[in-house]
Amino acid sequence: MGNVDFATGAPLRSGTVPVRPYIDADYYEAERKRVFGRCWLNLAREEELPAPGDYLVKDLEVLETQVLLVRGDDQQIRAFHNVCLHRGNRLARDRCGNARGFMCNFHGWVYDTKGQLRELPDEDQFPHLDPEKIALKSLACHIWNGFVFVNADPEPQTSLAQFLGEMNGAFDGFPFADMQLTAFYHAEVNANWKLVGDALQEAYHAPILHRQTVADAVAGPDNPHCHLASMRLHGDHHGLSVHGNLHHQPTPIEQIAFDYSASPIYPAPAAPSDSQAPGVNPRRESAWIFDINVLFPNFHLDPSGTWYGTYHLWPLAVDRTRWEFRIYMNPPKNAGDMVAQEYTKVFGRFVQREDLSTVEATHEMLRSGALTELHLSAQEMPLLHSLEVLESYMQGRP
Amino acid sequence: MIQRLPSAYVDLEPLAAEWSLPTEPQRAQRHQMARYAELELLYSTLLPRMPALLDDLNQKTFDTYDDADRRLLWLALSFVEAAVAVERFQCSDMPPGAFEAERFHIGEKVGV
Repeated sequence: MGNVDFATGAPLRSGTVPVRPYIDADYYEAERKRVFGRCWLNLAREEELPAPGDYLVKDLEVLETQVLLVRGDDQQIRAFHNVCLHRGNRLARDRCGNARGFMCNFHGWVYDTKGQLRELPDEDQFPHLDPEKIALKSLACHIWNGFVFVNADPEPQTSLAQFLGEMNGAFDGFPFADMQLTAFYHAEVNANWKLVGDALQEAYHAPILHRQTVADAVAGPDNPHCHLASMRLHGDHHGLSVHGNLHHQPTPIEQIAFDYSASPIYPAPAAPSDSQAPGVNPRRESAWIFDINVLFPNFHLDPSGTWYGTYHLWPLAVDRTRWEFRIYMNPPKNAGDMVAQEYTKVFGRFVQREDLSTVEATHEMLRSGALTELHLSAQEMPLLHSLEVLESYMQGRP
Repeated sequence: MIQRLPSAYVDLEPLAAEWSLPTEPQRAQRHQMARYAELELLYSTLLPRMPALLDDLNQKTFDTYDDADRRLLWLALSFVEAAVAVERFQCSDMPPGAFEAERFHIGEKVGV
């Protein structure tokens, strides 16, 4: 690629970043409120809640709450803090299910799927309350391309569309709803959430860290340092296109997977098409595998032509992160297609375990205090951008 | 004797007894428990059979599978586990230093 941001034409930047945001407990405490308390956060896909009454409970440790997502009879998905207004007991106790409403297990207050209080046992003893005015504490909840986002700010500073900015239309036409959850992997990682995310938003590491797995598929003689096919900054967010080695020599199982898959699978080069969503491989590079889109602060949306993956980096503490990775693919057409998809999953598991292999040791070494800054190449500009956006929130930008 | 794999594959029954497992977490766990020689045996036995095996299974749609077809498919899916270990790492799991398999969780609610 040229050494420019494909979105703006500006030159790519290298530089240094401070270590403190990765290891400092005070910084983390401020991050929780100023970043996670204000930004739109993806919690689910709407297909997880297909019918009225379907609900999910999601832990949001970074905000010390639990979110209840529920689809109402009017088909709208709403988000509530999972807490009864009476004495603060946890309301929904199962992680998911279908319900006409939610009864608190303590004294029997019942709420409907829109959050409105419907039953108040011994109501006469609450003369100061008007039950019709009692509703669960909600979080702003909006859907974009089927992704359910919430905002914990009681008065969100931006709409979801404003927050996404130029990313908003980038995936128009991408067949998210046709694909199904094919794999879900998760781990608790003893490292700062940004270190985990940083390991997943550059390709400079591929020829070394992934030398036994995906290196040859993404690097190769034409691109030995695995330069990105393109990079673009979109406000708080950014997108990268990962180069694919068109001369990659598949291993025997890979050849079987490539031969029998109904559509290109990871790590095969994906043929771009004109009908593809405009923000997916926007330069229509033929030597391309997939894109990495970092939707600030902690959600990665990584589409190829015929599959996509997501990462969520959920902070648990300054030095602990819940890492979640999901793969979505078309329903397998036959046994060959299923075996090919299994190859993507199994191979992907090992690539992920390589990606996660450095971050804990990195966190330990940064905590030593030996370094005060880190050096980023122009190919690692996404990390620089993420930290600049983070710092703008930390400075309390409106 | 009950035929537990389609007739063209009955010779694979000893492997199927060990590896025909219906879910990804079960297959991954079996992989983690395996000695490398077991993975090599599964890999070397199945690799030359895979094209014909998949061509045969591809004659059917999933909703017409019988139990024997399913067991053959599950064996093929375990072959993938073995193939990555043999082709990429030449050891039963990964080289030291990788993020530990025991801490890497595979979701239960998806898969075949």
